[in-house]
Amino acid sequence: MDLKIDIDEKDGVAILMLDGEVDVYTAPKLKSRLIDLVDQGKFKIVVDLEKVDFMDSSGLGVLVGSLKRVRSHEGAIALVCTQENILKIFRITGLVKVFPIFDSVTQAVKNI
Amino acid sequence: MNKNIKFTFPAQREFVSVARLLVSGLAPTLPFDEETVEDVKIALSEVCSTVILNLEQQQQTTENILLHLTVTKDFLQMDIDTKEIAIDLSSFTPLVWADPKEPGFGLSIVTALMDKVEFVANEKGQAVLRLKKFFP
Repeated sequence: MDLKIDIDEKDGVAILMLDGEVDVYTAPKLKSRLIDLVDQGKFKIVVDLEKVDFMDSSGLGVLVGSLKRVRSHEGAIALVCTQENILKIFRITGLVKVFPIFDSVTQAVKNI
Repeated sequence: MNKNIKFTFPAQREFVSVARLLVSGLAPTLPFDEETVEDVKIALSEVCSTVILNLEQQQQTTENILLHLTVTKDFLQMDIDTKEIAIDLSSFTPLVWADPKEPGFGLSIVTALMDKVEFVANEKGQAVLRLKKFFP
Protein backbone atom coordinates (compact mmCIF):
# COMPACT_ATOMS: atom_id res chain seq x y z
CA MET A 1 0.00 0.00 0.00
CA ASP A 2 1.26 3.43 -0.85
CA LEU A 3 0.10 6.93 -1.60
CA LYS A 4 1.23 8.56 -4.80
CA ILE A 5 1.08 12.34 -4.89
CA ASP A 6 1.41 14.36 -8.10
CA ILE A 7 1.39 18.14 -8.10
CA ASP A 8 0.22 20.39 -10.89
CA GLU A 9 -0.71 24.05 -11.13
CA LYS A 10 -3.46 25.81 -13.00
CA ASP A 11 -4.40 29.50 -12.91
CA GLY A 12 -2.22 29.99 -9.84
CA VAL A 13 -3.91 27.17 -7.97
CA ALA A 14 -1.83 24.20 -6.79
CA ILE A 15 -3.44 20.86 -7.52
CA LEU A 16 -2.55 17.76 -5.51
CA MET A 17 -3.62 14.54 -7.18
CA LEU A 18 -3.68 11.65 -4.73
CA ASP A 19 -3.62 8.02 -5.81
CA GLY A 20 -3.80 5.25 -3.21
CA GLU A 21 -4.72 5.03 0.45
CA VAL A 22 -4.57 7.79 3.07
CA ASP A 23 -4.18 6.34 6.53
CA VAL A 24 -1.96 6.66 9.59
CA TYR A 25 1.04 5.38 7.59
CA THR A 26 0.71 7.55 4.49
CA ALA A 27 -0.87 10.70 5.98
CA PRO A 28 2.52 12.14 7.07
CA LYS A 29 3.59 12.09 3.40
CA LEU A 30 0.50 14.11 2.47
CA LYS A 31 1.10 16.48 5.36
CA SER A 32 4.69 17.03 4.24
CA ARG A 33 3.68 17.84 0.65
CA LEU A 34 1.01 20.28 1.80
CA ILE A 35 3.42 22.02 4.16
CA ASP A 36 5.93 22.28 1.29
CA LEU A 37 3.31 23.98 -0.88
CA VAL A 38 2.45 26.50 1.82
CA ASP A 39 6.15 27.18 2.37
CA GLN A 40 6.40 27.88 -1.37
CA GLY A 41 3.66 30.47 -1.07
CA LYS A 42 0.88 28.32 -2.55
CA PHE A 43 -2.15 29.24 -0.49
CA LYS A 44 -4.87 28.13 -2.89
CA ILE A 45 -4.84 24.36 -3.11
CA VAL A 46 -7.12 21.80 -4.74
CA VAL A 47 -6.81 18.24 -3.43
CA ASP A 48 -8.08 15.68 -5.91
CA LEU A 49 -9.34 12.59 -4.05
CA GLU A 50 -10.84 10.83 -7.06
CA LYS A 51 -8.18 8.09 -7.09
CA VAL A 52 -8.12 7.61 -3.32
CA ASP A 53 -9.19 4.07 -2.47
CA PHE A 54 -9.33 4.56 1.27
CA MET A 55 -9.21 7.45 3.71
CA ASP A 56 -9.69 7.61 7.47
CA SER A 57 -9.39 10.36 10.06
CA SER A 58 -5.62 10.51 9.60
CA GLY A 59 -6.25 12.14 6.23
CA LEU A 60 -8.97 14.39 7.60
CA GLY A 61 -6.62 15.64 10.30
CA VAL A 62 -4.00 16.56 7.73
CA LEU A 63 -6.51 18.38 5.53
CA VAL A 64 -7.93 20.35 8.46
CA GLY A 65 -4.46 21.27 9.69
CA SER A 66 -3.49 22.41 6.21
CA LEU A 67 -6.69 24.41 5.85
CA LYS A 68 -5.79 26.33 8.99
CA ARG A 69 -2.34 27.01 7.60
CA VAL A 70 -3.55 28.37 4.26
CA ARG A 71 -6.35 30.38 5.89
CA SER A 72 -3.77 32.21 7.96
CA HIS A 73 -2.53 33.47 4.58
CA GLU A 74 -6.07 34.15 3.33
CA GLY A 75 -5.89 31.00 1.24
CA ALA A 76 -8.27 28.10 0.73
CA ILE A 77 -8.42 24.37 0.12
CA ALA A 78 -11.02 22.77 -2.12
CA LEU A 79 -11.55 19.05 -2.62
CA VAL A 80 -12.50 17.00 -5.63
CA CYS A 81 -14.43 13.89 -4.70
CA THR A 82 -17.39 11.95 -6.04
CA GLN A 83 -16.76 8.66 -4.23
CA GLU A 84 -19.47 7.92 -1.72
CA ASN A 85 -17.21 5.96 0.66
CA ILE A 86 -14.85 8.96 0.94
CA LEU A 87 -17.62 11.59 1.08
CA LYS A 88 -19.22 9.66 3.92
CA ILE A 89 -16.44 10.40 6.41
CA PHE A 90 -16.61 14.09 5.53
CA ARG A 91 -20.35 14.01 6.25
CA ILE A 92 -19.99 12.08 9.52
CA THR A 93 -17.45 14.56 10.84
CA GLY A 94 -19.29 17.64 9.56
CA LEU A 95 -16.38 18.57 7.34
CA VAL A 96 -18.66 18.95 4.31
CA LYS A 97 -19.42 22.35 5.83
CA VAL A 98 -15.74 23.19 6.12
CA PHE A 99 -14.37 22.11 2.73
CA PRO A 100 -15.95 23.02 -0.59
CA ILE A 101 -16.21 19.72 -2.48
CA PHE A 102 -16.48 19.60 -6.26
CA ASP A 103 -17.06 16.96 -8.92
CA SER A 104 -14.05 17.93 -11.03
CA VAL A 105 -10.70 19.68 -10.80
CA THR A 106 -11.88 22.25 -13.35
CA GLN A 107 -14.81 23.22 -11.15
CA ALA A 108 -12.66 23.32 -8.04
CA VAL A 109 -10.02 25.57 -9.65
CA LYS A 110 -12.70 27.88 -10.99
CA ASN A 111 -14.49 28.26 -7.64
CA ILE A 112 -11.72 28.22 -5.06
CA MET B 1 -21.31 -22.08 15.17
CA ASN B 2 -19.17 -19.00 15.56
CA LYS B 3 -16.15 -18.51 13.35
CA ASN B 4 -13.06 -17.09 15.00
CA ILE B 5 -10.10 -15.47 13.29
CA LYS B 6 -7.17 -14.24 15.33
CA PHE B 7 -4.47 -12.07 13.82
CA THR B 8 -1.51 -10.64 15.65
CA PHE B 9 0.48 -7.86 14.05
CA PRO B 10 3.15 -5.36 15.13
CA ALA B 11 1.75 -2.13 16.52
CA GLN B 12 3.28 -0.14 13.69
CA ARG B 13 1.64 2.18 11.22
CA GLU B 14 2.46 0.17 8.11
CA PHE B 15 0.51 -2.83 9.37
CA VAL B 16 -2.86 -1.09 9.67
CA SER B 17 -3.48 -1.73 5.98
CA VAL B 18 -2.84 -5.44 6.59
CA ALA B 19 -5.59 -5.46 9.23
CA ARG B 20 -7.94 -3.87 6.69
CA LEU B 21 -6.98 -6.53 4.16
CA LEU B 22 -8.09 -9.17 6.63
CA VAL B 23 -11.58 -7.67 6.62
CA SER B 24 -11.54 -7.48 2.83
CA GLY B 25 -10.62 -11.14 2.66
CA LEU B 26 -13.40 -12.07 5.02
CA ALA B 27 -15.97 -9.92 3.25
CA PRO B 28 -17.26 -12.54 0.75
CA THR B 29 -18.30 -14.73 3.69
CA LEU B 30 -20.30 -11.93 5.33
CA PRO B 31 -23.83 -10.77 4.43
CA PHE B 32 -22.68 -7.15 4.22
CA ASP B 33 -22.92 -5.02 1.12
CA GLU B 34 -19.79 -3.40 -0.27
CA GLU B 35 -20.46 -0.08 1.47
CA THR B 36 -20.77 -1.72 4.89
CA VAL B 37 -17.54 -3.63 4.39
CA GLU B 38 -15.83 -0.28 3.71
CA ASP B 39 -17.41 1.12 6.87
CA VAL B 40 -16.02 -1.76 8.92
CA LYS B 41 -12.57 -1.26 7.41
CA ILE B 42 -12.62 2.44 8.25
CA ALA B 43 -13.70 1.78 11.86
CA LEU B 44 -11.02 -0.87 12.31
CA SER B 45 -8.41 1.42 10.80
CA GLU B 46 -9.40 4.22 13.17
CA VAL B 47 -9.06 2.03 16.25
CA CYS B 48 -5.77 0.42 15.21
CA SER B 49 -4.33 3.82 14.30
CA THR B 50 -5.30 5.28 17.65
CA VAL B 51 -3.79 2.38 19.53
CA ILE B 52 -0.55 2.67 17.55
CA LEU B 53 -0.33 6.45 18.03
CA ASN B 54 -0.91 5.98 21.75
CA LEU B 55 1.85 3.40 21.90
CA GLU B 56 4.17 5.67 19.91
CA GLN B 57 3.60 8.42 22.44
CA GLN B 58 4.50 5.99 25.18
CA GLN B 59 7.49 4.85 23.11
CA GLN B 60 6.24 1.27 23.14
CA THR B 61 6.33 0.46 19.46
CA THR B 62 7.50 -3.08 20.09
CA GLU B 63 3.99 -4.01 21.18
CA ASN B 64 1.73 -6.28 19.18
CA ILE B 65 -1.96 -5.81 18.51
CA LEU B 66 -4.22 -8.83 18.70
CA LEU B 67 -7.21 -8.54 16.41
CA HIS B 68 -9.88 -11.13 17.16
CA LEU B 69 -12.73 -11.34 14.66
CA THR B 70 -15.80 -13.36 15.58
CA VAL B 71 -18.51 -14.07 13.04
CA THR B 72 -21.79 -15.20 14.56
CA LYS B 73 -25.12 -15.74 12.80
CA ASP B 74 -26.12 -12.20 13.80
CA PHE B 75 -23.06 -10.00 13.74
CA LEU B 76 -19.38 -9.42 13.13
CA GLN B 77 -17.41 -8.64 16.26
CA MET B 78 -13.89 -7.21 16.31
CA ASP B 79 -11.85 -7.17 19.51
CA ILE B 80 -8.74 -5.02 19.48
CA ASP B 81 -6.40 -6.03 22.25
CA THR B 82 -2.98 -4.87 23.25
CA LYS B 83 -1.41 -7.18 25.76
CA GLU B 84 -0.03 -4.69 28.18
CA ILE B 85 -1.47 -1.30 27.36
CA ALA B 86 -4.98 -0.34 28.39
CA ILE B 87 -6.88 1.52 25.70
CA ASP B 88 -8.63 4.61 26.89
CA LEU B 89 -11.55 5.49 24.66
CA SER B 90 -11.39 9.09 25.82
CA SER B 91 -7.96 9.31 24.25
CA PHE B 92 -9.32 8.89 20.74
CA THR B 93 -9.89 12.52 19.98
CA PRO B 94 -6.90 14.31 21.48
CA LEU B 95 -4.31 11.70 20.68
CA VAL B 96 -5.05 10.95 17.06
CA TRP B 97 -2.81 13.85 16.20
CA ALA B 98 -0.57 15.34 18.80
CA ASP B 99 -0.63 18.64 16.95
CA PRO B 100 -3.70 20.50 18.28
CA LYS B 101 -4.04 22.15 14.88
CA GLU B 102 -5.00 18.76 13.49
CA PRO B 103 -7.90 17.48 15.57
CA GLY B 104 -8.86 13.85 15.68
CA PHE B 105 -12.15 12.65 14.29
CA GLY B 106 -11.65 8.97 15.01
CA LEU B 107 -14.21 8.42 17.72
CA SER B 108 -17.07 10.11 15.88
CA ILE B 109 -16.33 8.03 12.81
CA VAL B 110 -16.11 4.73 14.71
CA THR B 111 -19.33 5.29 16.65
CA ALA B 112 -21.15 6.39 13.50
CA LEU B 113 -20.07 3.42 11.43
CA MET B 114 -20.37 0.61 13.98
CA ASP B 115 -23.48 -0.56 15.82
CA LYS B 116 -21.75 -0.98 19.15
CA VAL B 117 -18.46 0.27 20.61
CA GLU B 118 -17.56 -0.87 24.10
CA PHE B 119 -14.81 -2.02 26.40
CA VAL B 120 -14.75 -5.59 27.63
CA ALA B 121 -12.24 -7.45 29.76
CA ASN B 122 -9.97 -10.08 28.25
CA GLU B 123 -9.09 -13.29 30.08
CA LYS B 124 -6.44 -11.37 32.04
CA GLY B 125 -8.92 -8.71 33.09
CA GLN B 126 -7.38 -6.12 30.79
CA ALA B 127 -9.48 -3.75 28.71
CA VAL B 128 -10.21 -4.75 25.14
CA LEU B 129 -12.00 -2.49 22.71
CA ARG B 130 -14.91 -4.31 21.05
CA LEU B 131 -16.60 -3.17 17.85
CA LYS B 132 -19.77 -4.86 16.70
CA LYS B 133 -21.69 -4.67 13.43
CA PHE B 134 -24.98 -6.52 13.08
CA PHE B 135 -25.92 -8.24 9.86
CA PRO B 136 -28.89 -6.84 7.93
